[in-house]
Amino acid sequence: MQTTKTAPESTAPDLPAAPAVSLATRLRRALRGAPLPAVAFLALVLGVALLADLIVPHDPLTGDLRAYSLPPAWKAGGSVSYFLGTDLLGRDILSRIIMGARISLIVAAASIALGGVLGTVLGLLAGHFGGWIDEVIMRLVDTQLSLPSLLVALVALVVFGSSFTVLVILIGVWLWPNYARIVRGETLRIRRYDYISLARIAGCSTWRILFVHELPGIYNTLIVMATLQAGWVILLEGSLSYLGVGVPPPTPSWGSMIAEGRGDLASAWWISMFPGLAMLATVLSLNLLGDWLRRTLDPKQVNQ
Amino acid sequence: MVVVKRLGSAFVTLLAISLVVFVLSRMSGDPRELMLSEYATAEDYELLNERLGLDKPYYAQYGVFLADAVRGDLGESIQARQPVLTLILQRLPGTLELAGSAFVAIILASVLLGVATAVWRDTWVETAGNIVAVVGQSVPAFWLGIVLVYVFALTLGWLPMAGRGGWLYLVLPTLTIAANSLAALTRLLSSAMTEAMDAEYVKFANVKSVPPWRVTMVHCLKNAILTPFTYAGIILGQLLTGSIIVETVFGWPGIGLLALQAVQTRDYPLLQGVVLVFAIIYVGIALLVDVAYAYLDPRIRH
Amino acid sequence: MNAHGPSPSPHPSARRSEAPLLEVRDLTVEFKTRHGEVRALDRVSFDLRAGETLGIVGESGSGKSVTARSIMRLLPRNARVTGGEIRYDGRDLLTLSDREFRGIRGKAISMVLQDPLTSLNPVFRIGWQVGEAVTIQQGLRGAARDARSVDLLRGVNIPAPEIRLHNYPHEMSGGMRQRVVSATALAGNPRILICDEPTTALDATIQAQFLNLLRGLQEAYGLAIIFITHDFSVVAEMCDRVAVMYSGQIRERGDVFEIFDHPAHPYTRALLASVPKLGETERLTTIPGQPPSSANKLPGCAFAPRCPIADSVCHASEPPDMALRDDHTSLCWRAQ
Repeated sequence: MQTTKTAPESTAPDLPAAPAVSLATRLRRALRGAPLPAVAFLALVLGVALLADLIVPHDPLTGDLRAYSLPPAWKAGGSVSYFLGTDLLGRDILSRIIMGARISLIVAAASIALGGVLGTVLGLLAGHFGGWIDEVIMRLVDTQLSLPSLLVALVALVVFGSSFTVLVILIGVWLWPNYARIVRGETLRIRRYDYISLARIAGCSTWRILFVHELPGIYNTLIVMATLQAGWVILLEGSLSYLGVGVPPPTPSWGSMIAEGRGDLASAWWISMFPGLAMLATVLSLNLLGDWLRRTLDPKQVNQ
Repeated sequence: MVVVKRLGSAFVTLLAISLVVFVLSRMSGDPRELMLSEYATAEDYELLNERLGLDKPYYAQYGVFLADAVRGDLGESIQARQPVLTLILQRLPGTLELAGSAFVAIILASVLLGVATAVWRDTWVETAGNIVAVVGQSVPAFWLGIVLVYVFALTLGWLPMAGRGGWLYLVLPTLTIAANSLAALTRLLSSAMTEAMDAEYVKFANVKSVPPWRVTMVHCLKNAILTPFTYAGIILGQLLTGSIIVETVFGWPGIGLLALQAVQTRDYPLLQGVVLVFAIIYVGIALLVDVAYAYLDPRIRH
Repeated sequence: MNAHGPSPSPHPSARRSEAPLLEVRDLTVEFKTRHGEVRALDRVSFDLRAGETLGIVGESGSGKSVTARSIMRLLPRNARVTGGEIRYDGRDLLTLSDREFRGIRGKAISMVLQDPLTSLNPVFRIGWQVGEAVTIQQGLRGAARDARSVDLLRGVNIPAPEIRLHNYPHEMSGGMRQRVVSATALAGNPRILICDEPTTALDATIQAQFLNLLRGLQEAYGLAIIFITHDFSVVAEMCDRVAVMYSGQIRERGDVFEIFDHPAHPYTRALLASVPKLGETERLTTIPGQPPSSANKLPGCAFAPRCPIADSVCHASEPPDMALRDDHTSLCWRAQ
């Protein structure tokens, strides 16, 4: 930044035109600087979540009460069969973490899809049409962004009772204003470009311009946002489950597993520790990937 | 002018929250089911019927609800059989103490980290700062709290496990709340500092031979601090929200713990009261932040 | 408008006898970039005598700003002075520590940056910013500092300076801000003022006013000025001597009348031909081609690819610095 501003004499040399490159080279270039450990870990989590039923070593829902509160395998008294130990009901922690990965990813994917679609459509409308449509939508966005969302979510979960569907709808509705705001900004930027005017001159319908010409211009922004928000949603789902209003038991969720171990921290630390580590590693990977995507795809507006 | 406009939008937000709470209570069917315990008699139901004006149209019911709330009548807790407002006021100081100490901690730490990563950019300091920030952003607060308790209270025995007391009791909850918000603020401050340090006015300050520490800590920081300041409202909101979770981890007697008890016992009047009080604090803080920002940045003062 | 009015500077030859105030010898600066080390300044040498105005002219990217910033130690982080010396009052400034150099900067040599809009810090009042310089340069505090600040602002013809002290930069016009910047730069009573394109960001009428002011200040403070510009018509108005830069080298330097009347370097001739002259209707010439990028340097004269009179020698090897009349020199095989 500094050098280009203060000393343009030396920092912008012309480069020779890039010669044709092979696909492998291009791929390597595209992935330059990518956080490969994070990508690998996410691939692992995804694979584990998809194959959860096939690979769990024990039934994640029913435990063996004779094997309750076993420490992890490498501690005295641990068993290799229960590699990360068992909880107070004798359920295998590793198996529950594996099933929990599935829950976390499904909640994240479903609610982001819901919030993303809702927010993108409303943001496109606001940015494209402006006027009172814009006014109404953005007022709604501002109001919702200034609500204490977690508390409103608690009220809703008490009123409707907690279930998977309620949780997804709630988080989706929680997310849409972020998308709407950023998509609106991007749309305002894009619609000034000549190719949009050209499409209009060519007689494209409003809907065609919106979804065929303007929407692809903001894909990068949406990808970066969704990645960064996935981590955040996993934390949020974890918090709600930890508070006992998220995914209802006995379905294993990382958040509720952490809550279950809280009371016996002194005698069985592993019950809380491992689901938390799984969550930290997943969210960290998503954030690292999102940061890299942001740097690479460079949508100017996503800053959180 | 700006203040008047902000007051207006704060008022709208409060109305919106009250409406959301009201609508949610009516969406569940008979609101009396939510507001009375399972031991309530037929007379209790009759009484509440009259009290809430359930035979009247919805807008009239909302009017009753608003009028009561404005008078400070938030109903009675099902469990404690006490006015909701009394219960909340008992717990309010605890939450304010925690959120306040977390806010101070976050401001100090993020200024320190943000300035350090900008001044020593492209060195190990920046790398370390970035790692602290991204890990802080990714760690589940409730789990971090548990880990801190395990390490510093159970294993090392340096700090108390739970409860509210002297400043020692504040350390772990403050750290836990601060971790998440610290990341975002540090990043913002760091990039704002980097930008400020490349600005022409910094070169001109060098022409004046202003000492380097003063260029960084006065000339740059006063510019850089404005950007994250716009997020201070969001961060305070995060702190309050975070306090709900952290209070439950550390058994800290604040509004958050009260809210969780209300959720667990399905004490709807109490929960509704907590939401409204939280909303007022939330909106009030956002308002203060905006006014303070307008005061700090001469360009928008007029 | 301007109280000082245009003041005719004494004839340059009157100063010839004095020893130079600032001597720059073989100054070489390199930038570290993604594409390797790039030489931004290549053995730049010139003198500045007390009270005179030296113009440094060139296209953007020629190295004129880098020259100024090297003298002031304002180079970006990736730049490094790799050779040469900058002597002020007999001392080589490049050997001073940062702390020692702060005794020079602002006091002996000061600078007005290109953009008055961004040179002032937006979040501090004018009085604070001028006063800071007064405190640092002269050790004045409190009422004495304020009085001196008012004097400085009055010295650059700012009306009602007492009131202006309470303004923020965004409340002033570009011309006013450039005056504030100049006043601040002069707080330490420097002997040399470097002006890096001080009028580029200003409107034409404001430009003329500011140049007048600068001449007045030069008279009042006895300043030697290094005036950096891309505009030869401003050089004619302001400067006693001129140095023409191209791709990090000084291509030609000498007395301003000499250069205007007998330009020796084809690049200087091209620059002069592109200056509009009043009353002339012939078409302005432009210089064909692009300035070279410093990264991929060819052998031979850097200007050769654009030069109308280049021959095989020019393309093969770098020209030497040819001494012509008086202190008129030109870096060109074909200098006449």
